[in-house]
Amino acid sequence: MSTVSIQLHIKRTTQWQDFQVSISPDAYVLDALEAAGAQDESLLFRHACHHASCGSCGLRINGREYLPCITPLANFEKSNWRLRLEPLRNFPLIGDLLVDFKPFMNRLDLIGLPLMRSAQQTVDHQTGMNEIKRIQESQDQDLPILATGFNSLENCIECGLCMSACPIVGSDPHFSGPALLAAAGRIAAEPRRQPLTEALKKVDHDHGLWRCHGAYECTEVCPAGVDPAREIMSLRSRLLRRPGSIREIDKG
Amino acid sequence: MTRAAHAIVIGAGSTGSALAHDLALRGVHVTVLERAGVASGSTGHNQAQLHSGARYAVNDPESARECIRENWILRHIQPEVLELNDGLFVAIDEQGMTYRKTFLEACKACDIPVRELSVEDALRMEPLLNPHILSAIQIPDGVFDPYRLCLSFLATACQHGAKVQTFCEVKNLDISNRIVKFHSRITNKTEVLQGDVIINAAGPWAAFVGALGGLQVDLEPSAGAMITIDRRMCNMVINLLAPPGDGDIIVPQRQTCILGTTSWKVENPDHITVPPEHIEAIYKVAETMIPSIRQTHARGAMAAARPLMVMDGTGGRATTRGFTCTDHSAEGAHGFFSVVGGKTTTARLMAEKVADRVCAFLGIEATCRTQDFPLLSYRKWLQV
Repeated sequence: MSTVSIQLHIKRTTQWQDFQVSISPDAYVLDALEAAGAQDESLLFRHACHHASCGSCGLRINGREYLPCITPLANFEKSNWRLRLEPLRNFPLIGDLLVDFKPFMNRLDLIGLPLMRSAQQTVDHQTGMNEIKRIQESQDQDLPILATGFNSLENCIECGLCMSACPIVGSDPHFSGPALLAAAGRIAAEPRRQPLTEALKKVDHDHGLWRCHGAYECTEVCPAGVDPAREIMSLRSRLLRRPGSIREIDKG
Repeated sequence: MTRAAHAIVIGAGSTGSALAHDLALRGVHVTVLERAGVASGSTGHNQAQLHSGARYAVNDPESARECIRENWILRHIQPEVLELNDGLFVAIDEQGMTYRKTFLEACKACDIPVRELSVEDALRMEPLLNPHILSAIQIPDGVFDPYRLCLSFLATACQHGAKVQTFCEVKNLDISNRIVKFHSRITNKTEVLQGDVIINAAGPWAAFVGALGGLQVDLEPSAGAMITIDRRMCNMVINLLAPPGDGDIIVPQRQTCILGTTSWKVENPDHITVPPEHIEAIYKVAETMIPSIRQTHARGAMAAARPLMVMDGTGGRATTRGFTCTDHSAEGAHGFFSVVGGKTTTARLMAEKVADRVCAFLGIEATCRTQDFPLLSYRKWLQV
């Protein structure tokens, strides 16, 4: 099996350290990082799922936020296989590439970021849902589920890449941040059991929706296609059209 | 009042996390030591299937019964980490149709509810399925987020006084005094901890942990490769109606699907490389169920090691997915237990049985409460 020599320039807690890793060119950045971790066991980094589901491995590679588990090393052939790895910004640093997610989780919990959504399949899933209803009506209810149609976990995997990439999060510590604002957008789009007005109240303020200046960095780095910037803009327009919103009061 | 007994759990995968929760609820003071992050081993990168047990019903009915029972319990105690859309077993050829009868009888015997769908109904529910399927059977499979499940177990354990120390690697075990020496990569310090009982829940690494104390733990790590694709091609878990084989399950999760798995023996569960031919083997079977699967893009390929029990040299798929809890007192290690085998779907049950043994050893009479104790949200996990 052919291998390439990868150079990892890793920001440790107190200094930078270089690692040389020989690995398959088809491997992912996380594989190279794990190989570096095998060379120096003191290296701190987090990972769990290796397929962009757990959202725990995010870091910055050559100045941009990525999930290393789904980022092919081949993407860096043009940079002569040299990768500069740094921890996410705007999170308290624990050590090396490991950051503290506690404040982020607390914030997400505050707004009650929705966990479930109706599943968006690649094909017409309404047909599937109608079919389930028809079958269930015609049969015994021997299976207790599928009563409300197909569901899925929310697309946001809470990886924090958007919080690191956002220039406003870096300059305004009170700013809600893209993940939370996108969550409010999701509640507005598909309210389910979440109280809509409560969610909107938590983002309709100077450090919330109106603080974003539209850099779109969040959408750029999001590995899950959540598109937080679009959610922010559509929530803004929704609020502007609503009687009694901040903007209308301003006009008065 | 006497001091609460102290249990040291080694490993924060699904086994260790569920065990910490169970013991903490019974009033035991628990410390979990994990060499990396939560679920950084086999639990984290498993295929994310909440098993109905149907996959095991024919060959391993005991595991199948455990799966369906735990499936219902998990829906009750932690629905927020589950996608509940059921699963389908689809037959694509005559071999599948022959297996069908055996399969249906086995599911019935294991109390796994089944619904036989007409091919037309199945295709309307899952339009990307192979239009030439011969039969479709609906079963209560599901999908979970294994990382969040572990965080939920641990958050709940911490609420009941457990202490979880991640990035702490066990370096030495003094079995006669039940002292664990470990190194924290966060503080860069080596510390010692004494327990009334020590439980080795290191999954496929359990033999390495046991060896630190000169103890033998028999297991056969069996790796499985998986591919994650960038489209959700189905809403239900799609299984091939045939005896268990490579690549016969497609698990949808969020906007992706996880295809898998294969099976080969590995000596060391660390950094398993996915053999390129396994990728092709997985696609080959997956496309018999969903023909357009190759039109998607792979987001990543990964492998994890199943911590299988040793079974008379058969290994791999023929091995039971059940579990054992070994008491090492015969080797002079009183109060040292090793857990081997099992799977994330049945982690709570494993924890219950192990905690029963541990409490019997400690002389604690508390009974298990985890089967109807709702878990805290994974967001309440406030450690590293």
